[in-house]
Amino acid sequence: MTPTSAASPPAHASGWSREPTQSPRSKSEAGVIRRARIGDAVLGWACRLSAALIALMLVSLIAVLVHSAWPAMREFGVGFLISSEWRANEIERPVRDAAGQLMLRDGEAVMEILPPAFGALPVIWGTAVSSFLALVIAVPISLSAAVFLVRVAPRLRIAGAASFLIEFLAAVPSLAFGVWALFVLAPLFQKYVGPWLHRIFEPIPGLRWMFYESVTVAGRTIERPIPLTGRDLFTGSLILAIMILPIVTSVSRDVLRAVPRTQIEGTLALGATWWQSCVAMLRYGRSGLLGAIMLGLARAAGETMAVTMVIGNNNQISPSPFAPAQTMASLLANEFAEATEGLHRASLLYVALILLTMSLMFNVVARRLVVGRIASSGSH
Amino acid sequence: MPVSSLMTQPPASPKPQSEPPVVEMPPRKRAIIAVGATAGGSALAGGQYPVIDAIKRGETPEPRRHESVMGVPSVLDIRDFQLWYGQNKALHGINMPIAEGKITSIIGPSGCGKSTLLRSVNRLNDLVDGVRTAGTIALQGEDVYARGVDVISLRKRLGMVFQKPNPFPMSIFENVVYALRISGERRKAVLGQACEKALRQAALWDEVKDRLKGSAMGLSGGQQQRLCIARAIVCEPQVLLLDEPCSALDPIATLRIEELILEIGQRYTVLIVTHNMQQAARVSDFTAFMYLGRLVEYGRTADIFQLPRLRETEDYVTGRFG
Ligand SMILES: Nc1ncnc2c1ncn2[C@@H]1O[C@H](COP(=O)(O)OP(=O)(O)OP(=O)(O)O)[C@@H](O)[C@H]1O
Ligand SMILES: [Mg+2]
Repeated sequence: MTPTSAASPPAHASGWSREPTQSPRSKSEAGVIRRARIGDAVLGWACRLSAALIALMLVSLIAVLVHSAWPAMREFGVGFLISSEWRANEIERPVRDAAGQLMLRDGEAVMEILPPAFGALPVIWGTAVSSFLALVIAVPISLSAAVFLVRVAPRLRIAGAASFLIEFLAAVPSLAFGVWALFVLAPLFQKYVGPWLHRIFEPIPGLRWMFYESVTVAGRTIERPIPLTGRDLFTGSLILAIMILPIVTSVSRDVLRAVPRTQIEGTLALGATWWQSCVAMLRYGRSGLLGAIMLGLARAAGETMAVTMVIGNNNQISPSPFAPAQTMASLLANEFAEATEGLHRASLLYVALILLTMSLMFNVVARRLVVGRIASSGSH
Repeated sequence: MPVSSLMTQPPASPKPQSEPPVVEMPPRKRAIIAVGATAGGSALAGGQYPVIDAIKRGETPEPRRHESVMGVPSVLDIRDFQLWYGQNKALHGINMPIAEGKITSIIGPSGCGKSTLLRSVNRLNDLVDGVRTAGTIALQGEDVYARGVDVISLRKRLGMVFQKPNPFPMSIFENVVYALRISGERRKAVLGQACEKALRQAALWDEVKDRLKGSAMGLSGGQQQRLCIARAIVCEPQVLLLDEPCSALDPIATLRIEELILEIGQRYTVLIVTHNMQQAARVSDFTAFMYLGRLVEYGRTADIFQLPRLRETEDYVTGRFG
């Protein structure tokens, strides 16, 4: 749109001119038109400015991140993404030989000094696994809730109330979720759910990795049970699932609402059961639903506060969901305030840049899927 | 809303008229005629249409059912059927048998309840909130509204095609065999045969046989509608319900569908709702004229168009009123 076309909308003007002009009123009408035009112009420019400001903010956000992360990017390159070391300070440790024996010289252990090193693999792993688990938990619930809101709730006349509650859930501050998770979920897991899962799954062959970890103590590798603290990847995923429920549900609901009536009636007229017609409805909205899920994924990957409180904050890669872990966001929340040393800080910002890029990608894909679906429902 | 606009028309003649005796004319031999819709003469002065006036007053006058329709064997028998949408009564005591193996069309002004009647047969109105019914619709002697009727298997005995083509977002093949799939049919050979047969009957086979795996959304509007017909007849329904199947199509596609309906009418009982008088005249054996939820006149198509017993019907089918 060009600025002039916004400033003087022709339809508006002709709409006025078509009115029978009465001489006593025409003067004030002209004034109204002029004022409306000025108002349109001002509003038009204000809107453009705001839009530009938002774009500028995003660009400068990326620029600042890249600039501050540059030392780490230069130091580690893309290897940062696949390295799993994370040492903020240099440490001293005894050297061991291949057999795990301490190397001694003059009766004393030989020490080596490890310089600080940074790698994002553990947090990428933690983010990926916790987001994935959150989706696995949240998506079935969200889709069922969306189907309920579209197909059942209107008949019960509770669609409005139910939708309100779900959207209200989205407005709860994440700190509140975190506190609830810390004081309710975590103890519950530690005392009841964890041991119960342990009893059920441990005897199943091939699932031992869920409950035991190998650690190297004094040169020997031993297997020991993972302590159940209730603050682990699983609890973190669960709270993430709860937090992405509202958005996935409400976007899915909008997608399903846009499914044409004739589609549902078409399946029913052919003798589909209620359940089969719901499946058809989900199939019709599948790409929009995928978008809803992607939005949920973006939110799960970026969520910070609540996850930091319950995920255990351990920068390690463990296959077990019952081991403490760390996500990109929780790493930043934990360490950023204390990161005084240059490379440490730059590495954290490198992580932030990865997180931002990922979230942007998820969001772009999701929006495309959802908007394309709702706008052109009917075409495929 | 059509109904409310009719309701708010100026009241009928100030001088109350007693219903004049209706001249019953003998039924004539059937002949297909083309009716030129003579648009023009709008609503005549009140009192011209005693039956319509009575309906507008809220009465349900006895419809003129020709002897010719009452004698034929019927597959579907609508008896004193009434339907309410919440407080609004949309159908008033409809009595009409649907002749087996014939094409019956329902005509009437917009909002008179044609779709409602059609959707009552396969109980699609059950989905609408606040619908109540009374009376019976008997499909081969069994009331579809009786208690304990399995609606799912009832709908499998009926096919329905909607106003707007509604192919599912799947391949052409999967669209056609949908009704079989949801009944649990998995055998490839059975599905393939059924698909070919239905598509041939719907006169679509030659056009799509090379792209059965392609998306149904890529077909033209007319092809989509024929696909929907194929989908509806794949289970060989006892009655095929068509709700204005051509109203979203261009004239050429409309002609093809009409030919198809005539052909399908050789095998199936067809109940078709249409706005298009010529279409009713061209394709159907029997025609029912409805007005404000009442059946007004019902008889052989030729009789309805050539020798209607009511002035209302005559003026409606010639486009002088409605
Ligand atoms: N879902 C519904 N809820 C409430 N009222 C309805 C509903 N569907 C139809 N009606 C009303 O029932 C009456 C009959 O509607 P119906 O759709 O059967 O008319 P129609 O003859 O098919 O009209 P058209 O030729 O425009 O399709 C109308 O007054 C309409 O407003
Ligand atoms: Mg209709």
